[in-house]
Amino acid sequence: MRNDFVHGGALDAMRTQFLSARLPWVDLSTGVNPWPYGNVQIGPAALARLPQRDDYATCRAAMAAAWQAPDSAIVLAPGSELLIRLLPTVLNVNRIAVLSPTYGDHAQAWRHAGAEIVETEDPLSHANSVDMVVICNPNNPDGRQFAPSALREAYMQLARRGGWLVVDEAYADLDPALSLAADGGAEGLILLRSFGKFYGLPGLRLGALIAPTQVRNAMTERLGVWPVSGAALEVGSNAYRDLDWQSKMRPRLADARQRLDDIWINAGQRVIGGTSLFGLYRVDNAHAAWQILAQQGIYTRRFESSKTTLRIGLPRDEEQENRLADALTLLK
Amino acid sequence: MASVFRWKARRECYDGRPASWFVGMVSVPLLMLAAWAMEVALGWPAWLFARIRHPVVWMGALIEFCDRQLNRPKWTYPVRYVSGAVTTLVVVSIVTGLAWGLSVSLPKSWWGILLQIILASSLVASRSLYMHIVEVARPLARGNLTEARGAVAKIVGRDPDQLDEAGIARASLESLAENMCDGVVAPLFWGACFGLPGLVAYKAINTLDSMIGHRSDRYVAFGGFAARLDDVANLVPARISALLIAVASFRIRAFEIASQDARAHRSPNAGWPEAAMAGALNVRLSGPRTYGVKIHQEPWLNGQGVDPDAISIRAGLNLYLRALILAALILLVLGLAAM
Repeated sequence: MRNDFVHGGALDAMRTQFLSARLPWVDLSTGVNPWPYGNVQIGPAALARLPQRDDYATCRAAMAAAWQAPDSAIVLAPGSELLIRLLPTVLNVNRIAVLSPTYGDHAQAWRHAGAEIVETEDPLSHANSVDMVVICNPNNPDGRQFAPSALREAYMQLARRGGWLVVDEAYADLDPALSLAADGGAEGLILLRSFGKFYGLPGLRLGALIAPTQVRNAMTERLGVWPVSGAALEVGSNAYRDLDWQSKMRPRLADARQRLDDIWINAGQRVIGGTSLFGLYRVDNAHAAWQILAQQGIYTRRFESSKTTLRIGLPRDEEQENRLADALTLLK
Repeated sequence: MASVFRWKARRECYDGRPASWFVGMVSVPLLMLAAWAMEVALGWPAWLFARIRHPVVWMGALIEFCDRQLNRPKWTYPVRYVSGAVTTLVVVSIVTGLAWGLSVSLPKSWWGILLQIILASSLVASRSLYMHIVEVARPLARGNLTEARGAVAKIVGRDPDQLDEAGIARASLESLAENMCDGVVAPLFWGACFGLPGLVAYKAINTLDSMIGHRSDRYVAFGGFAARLDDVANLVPARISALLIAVASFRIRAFEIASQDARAHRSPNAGWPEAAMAGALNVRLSGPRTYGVKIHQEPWLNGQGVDPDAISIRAGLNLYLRALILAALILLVLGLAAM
């Protein structure tokens, strides 16, 4: 099976590994919105012809409006994961400070490229000594937030030496005030955005890079002519333009997260952090607990580096909440 | 050389022979000034180039010969480093020895001095640098990026296809500042100190650096010594160039940026004139750049400044001319004081 320590979301592998698990499976292993954006009807033209320049421009404009970012600084991509993998082919950097803990693929991608990596809880303090600082804001899995003013100071400091601050804003749609998108295009600042999480459609594969000209040009070249499908462009454009849906979804997710916390607290566990799309909880023997929950058909996210935490996505409905609450009684 | 420090040089030694800072009755700084004036007025005429090529081309041929014979990829790093160092020392000795032999054996009559002036003038490159940069500025001002890229490709080693207007302007201004040192100030500085042999030695070192001093697989070992020697040879001239640019600009900011940002530059020397230029024009230079397929980290010089454009190149050329006039005045004062 795919190593469950690396990513969540591999339900097919769980089915085969836990054949006697309680059914149906409750997949809480990812931080994806359980109530996806619904307006996903696409016209036949979206698939019957190649995506046009205008289709890309429309999607970029919708993103720019939703994020308050300069339109011209955005590059569309099939998901931010690919951007994370391609960045090391674009930038030549030797020393990198990466936030720890965070989404593991950042450090891995740069390590493959031969960079020297410092994993630290306080990466911004390294802005004076490294070529690049990589963080997630808000962070996955602990939900840690960085003030935009502190990040602004850091990228300006890095830019003076020709370095870069990479901010993975995969969860920034939950709290637009945290985003540096308005600074998009500034020298030294590279932002990664992800569509799938907040809009609940990770299968669409849509993401964006917001970066200064030189980086944008190089990435555009790597991505080729039709990096994003017509379907993704059309659904993405509709979703980003739907400000009403977005503003209603934020409190709904925050509510669901509150209920999720209540379930864990009632089960006698402690809340460590998280965002409106997932919570991080303190659990003794987390690796064993993960197994117990899996046998109950509850798929959660555990971490190789931590034996005391589990990350839990939002249950979709009361039934899933009850299933989780029932399963948690077994952890005592 | 001692006479430089004694300020007022004696025209003759005690036994009546001319002192070393003189060629015949002309002090060396004045000889350099005359050579430079000839370069500005005439350049190196095409018909002459067609007949006898150019002294730098002769040196290039010698270096290429040594490179072919002594830079074997199968040799180990230390062996290639040493063979490169030997090549460097041999090339510098040969051409400097020839220049020295010429300068002592040529009669101190007017035509002997004139021949030295002609030779020296071929090794200063103020006029051709100006022309090259103008050829970038002109199409850029008209918005013709394709032509400007073609012109900039002749002066820098970067892939010009990646450059936008700011990138082209940045490359030209950096090249202007760096080559003002390599092509004008440094040759004249070493020429003013040691006469024609000094100038020729510098040109040999600088030509070696540009031919074998890169960090590519083929040259990182073989050219290592030449690159270090070039760093030493430019140590003083680069700082003089920065000073000339800063003084000629009448901008405090040029001094500030040079003293603040120059050390961050990848080159121990080129950062000085480039930073002074960046501060004087209040544009930002250097910064991340594309080599091959990747964008390399590079500190900004005057990162707070705006991106340069075609107008900045014009302003840079203007400043270049003023700085050179200042340099000429200094040579004149030095030369006359010695007489």
